[in-house]
Amino acid sequence: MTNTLSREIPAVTGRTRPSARSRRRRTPAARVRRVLLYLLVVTIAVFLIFPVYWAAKTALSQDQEIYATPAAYVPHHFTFQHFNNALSDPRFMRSIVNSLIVGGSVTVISVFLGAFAAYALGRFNFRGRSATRYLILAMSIFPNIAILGSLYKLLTVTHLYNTLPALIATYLIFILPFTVWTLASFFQQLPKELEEAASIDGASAMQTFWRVMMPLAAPGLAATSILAVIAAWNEYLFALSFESDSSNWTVPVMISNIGAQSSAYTIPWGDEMAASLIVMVPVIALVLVLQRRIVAGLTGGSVKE
Amino acid sequence: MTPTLIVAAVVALYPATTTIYRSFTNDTFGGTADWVGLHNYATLLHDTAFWSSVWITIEFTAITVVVEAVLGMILALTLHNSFVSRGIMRALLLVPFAIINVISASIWKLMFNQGYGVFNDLLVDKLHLTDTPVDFFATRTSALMSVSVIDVWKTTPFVALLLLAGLQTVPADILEAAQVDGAGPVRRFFSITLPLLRPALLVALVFRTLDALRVFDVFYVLFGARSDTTTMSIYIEQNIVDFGKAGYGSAISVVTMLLIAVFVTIYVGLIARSSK
Amino acid sequence: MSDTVRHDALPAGIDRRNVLRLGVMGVGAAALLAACGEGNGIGGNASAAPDALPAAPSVSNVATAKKYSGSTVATDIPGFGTEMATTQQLAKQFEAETGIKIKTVPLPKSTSDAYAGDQRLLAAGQASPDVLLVDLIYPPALADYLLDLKSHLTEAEIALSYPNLIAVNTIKSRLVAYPWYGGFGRLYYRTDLLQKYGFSAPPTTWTELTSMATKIQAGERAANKAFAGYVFQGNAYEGLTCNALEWLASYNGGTFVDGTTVSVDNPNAIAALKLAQSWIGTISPSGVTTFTEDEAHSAFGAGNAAFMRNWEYAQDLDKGSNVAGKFGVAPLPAGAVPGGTTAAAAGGWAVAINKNTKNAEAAVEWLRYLTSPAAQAYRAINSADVPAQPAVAAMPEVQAALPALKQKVVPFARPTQVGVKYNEVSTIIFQAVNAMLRGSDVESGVKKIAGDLRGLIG
Repeated sequence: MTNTLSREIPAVTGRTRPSARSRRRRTPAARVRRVLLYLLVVTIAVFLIFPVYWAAKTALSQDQEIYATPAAYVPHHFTFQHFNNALSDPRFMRSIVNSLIVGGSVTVISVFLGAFAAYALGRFNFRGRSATRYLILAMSIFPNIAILGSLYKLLTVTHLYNTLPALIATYLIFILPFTVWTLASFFQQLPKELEEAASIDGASAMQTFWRVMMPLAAPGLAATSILAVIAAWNEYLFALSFESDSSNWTVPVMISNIGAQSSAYTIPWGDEMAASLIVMVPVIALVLVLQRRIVAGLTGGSVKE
Repeated sequence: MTPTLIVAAVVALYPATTTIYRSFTNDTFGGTADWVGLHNYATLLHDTAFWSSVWITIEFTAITVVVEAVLGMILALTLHNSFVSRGIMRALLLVPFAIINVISASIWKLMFNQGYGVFNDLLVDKLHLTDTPVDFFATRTSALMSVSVIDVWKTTPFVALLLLAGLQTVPADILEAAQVDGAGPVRRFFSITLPLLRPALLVALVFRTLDALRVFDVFYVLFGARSDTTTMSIYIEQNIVDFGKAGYGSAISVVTMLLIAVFVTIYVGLIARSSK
Repeated sequence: MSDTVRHDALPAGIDRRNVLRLGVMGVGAAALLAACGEGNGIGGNASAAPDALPAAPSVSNVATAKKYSGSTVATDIPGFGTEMATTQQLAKQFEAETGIKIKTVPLPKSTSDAYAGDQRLLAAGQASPDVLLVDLIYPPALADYLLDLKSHLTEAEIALSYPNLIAVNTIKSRLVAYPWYGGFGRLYYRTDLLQKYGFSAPPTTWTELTSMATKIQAGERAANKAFAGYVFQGNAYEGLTCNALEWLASYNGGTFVDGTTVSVDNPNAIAALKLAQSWIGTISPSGVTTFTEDEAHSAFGAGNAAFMRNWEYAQDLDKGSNVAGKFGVAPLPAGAVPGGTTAAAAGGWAVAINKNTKNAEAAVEWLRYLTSPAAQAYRAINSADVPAQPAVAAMPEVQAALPALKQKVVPFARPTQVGVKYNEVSTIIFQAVNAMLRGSDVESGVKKIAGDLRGLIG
């Protein structure tokens, strides 16, 4: 069904691509532009990767080398001790699982709820529409530290303190508004004719939503879910304050406490970096998996693989 | 819509109202919590530490949001073209994201270090640009610049990702038609692409601004409780936790929230205008 | 690449399944290599795996403790590092011998995070954990929420600890926390460099240290641009309050607040701060104003400093660093003024009992064991924690593990008698001193500190 749509409404589904005609031209000017483009790409790549490279280098260096002067760009003595330390800490693996659970749940819930709310906000004009938009956005204006104490009380009263659902619920405070607003702007972009066409064809509001609007908002859904996962993954303050058992610690809290050989004042750089690199794998994996599931699920699988 | 509103109400309204209530008391840890009316707010007006925290936060927000918008746009436009390894590049965008906030601040702190940091090594030993190692955190300005660089690195991908998704909904034919009509790439960008991207751009800016105004982690890891780099969130934390002054801290929180709300209103006004 | 919308949304060109496979392989490879690395001894530091720890000492108060067998005591434990390992061993031993179940609650590494957590749970009236671990600066603030240990411990037990530490934990004549381990500021110096530049002994006054550091730095800088004369903790945090306290006390300039009287505006204090300010840019790099214990430790450990001020833990540099075997520990220098003395800030942690606990007696027994001389010796040897009892510090095996303990130390406590306001007092102090180190005027700065402190404490 979507294929039909994409044929009929190329304007919405198309991408900017150099057309066949312009590709054949390949003037010197175009070639120069190409080279500049690749230069830019390389610069961007270096910019994005260098600190991570430094983290990797630190993770593979012996402790003494980390602070050595002059700075070593490649470790002189490789060691996998730090990776070993991280992996052999039993709480570490547990924390990755916890983060995956929390990150995954929050994203699924917020994208799901957010899509509905965004659709309503983006397409329909109802009384109190602006007020609702402001209200949802208002959830994001609290500095986390300011609401910490009250949330803590709320959680103890509802017996959610020291559980993972506590984090899932409280993360929604800053993730849901973002989801709603982003998706709303994507929904808003789509032309009105689609809904009119669908209703002429006899589709109900729900059907229009699921089969017409959602597939077209797929880029927005994907982007939003990535950002939601990352936001949940990175969060430290709530994760620290609302969990007292180390078996409920998420990754950021765990990494701050890593380092089985360290003393009170030592910062175990090597171990921290090794742990951080290890956790990059699950988070990127989670992002990719969620993208696939969320986009496929919400577009009813009616989009070509 | 209703389930979303219910979630919002329960999870957000309770802390908001209790904070506002507490701001009118002199609630302190280990002490009493008596009603004091507007006393906290009066003190706040003369609190130089508070206003300096406001300024540094606003400056930080202004710098990072502008830079991230521009860089994010450049990144998105670049990655929107088709070229070899584009897929990998897009995946690379996720990399600064996938590093935990606190860890990224720590690794940058290592790199900025005056003694063994790689930047000083490059400047002094490799490129011979200066003779003595630079202390990147020496003054308020240099500290602010350093922190901004870190934040730009960490969150430009956020803006870029959103803009990239937005670019994908820009219709190709309109652009091709414009090209045929003789419009150059710059003109095409400003007249067609940018206006169509405006909603996505503004959403990205709104949330970046919100996050920047509430910044805590990166400043705290780098500078601790240094007086000239205390942001609003750090100041709130200091008062509520370190000093145990929950009442005064709540007043600061309320004023902070109001300031943030002002910014948001401006943005939302811009969005409302752009979608007409 | 196809033209469908869905593919646009995802990083095209990378098959998701392949990435996942790569990821899993990556982690697997890392684990495999790590295991191999361990076996072949490729690089790596000597590591004492937690299960290689010797068994904890037996419980001396086992008779009384057995009375409460079957109850559960929830206790804070350090959440990381060797300290966690030793405390866990102690918990296991206690459980095994007495039948009291110990439920461990790991503390976050950052002291202020731990304090924030304590604040929250005590203000909310929670009964768990029963036993809390608190940094020495916190008992005054938490006093109202903690049990008076005087009614549970004998006078003999209380007398075992350093009187200084007992005094700090006694608020309104209630002993709210029992000292667990201590720490005092020490001077670390490079024995090889002192020899090279013709100095026979470590400096006994700050002026001596300044001149020694200047000479050594001038000599070493030629070969090593990153070399510094003296490194200490200059960041705007609690550690700076300790350093500043040491400067002032060594100059006979008081301790910012003596008891509850603000005393910082005196000429000796001003002289001390001016001296410290003069170090920045001369014998201490300006980056020192961002140093915590760890940065000073790394700078000294990499061989880039002649002198360092740090706690006893820094002796671990002997076990594997560029300065292993090349440094010594001495008392901090005195001020070159009449009444000047070596001064060390007193740090450490104490054990306290939650007032709302439902297991007071069992908790007390655990506290007894945790702070017993045998346990303190065990922790001194296995996790480098300075004992809080002079008798333990004098034990030969403890002194062998922590040679710094052989040195004389004149401890000064931070002004925690101001009670709940201590954090604010400390913040005023370290923010102002940090600004001075960065160059702001000392005399007006001291006046401002005095004014702010008086405004706060009255």
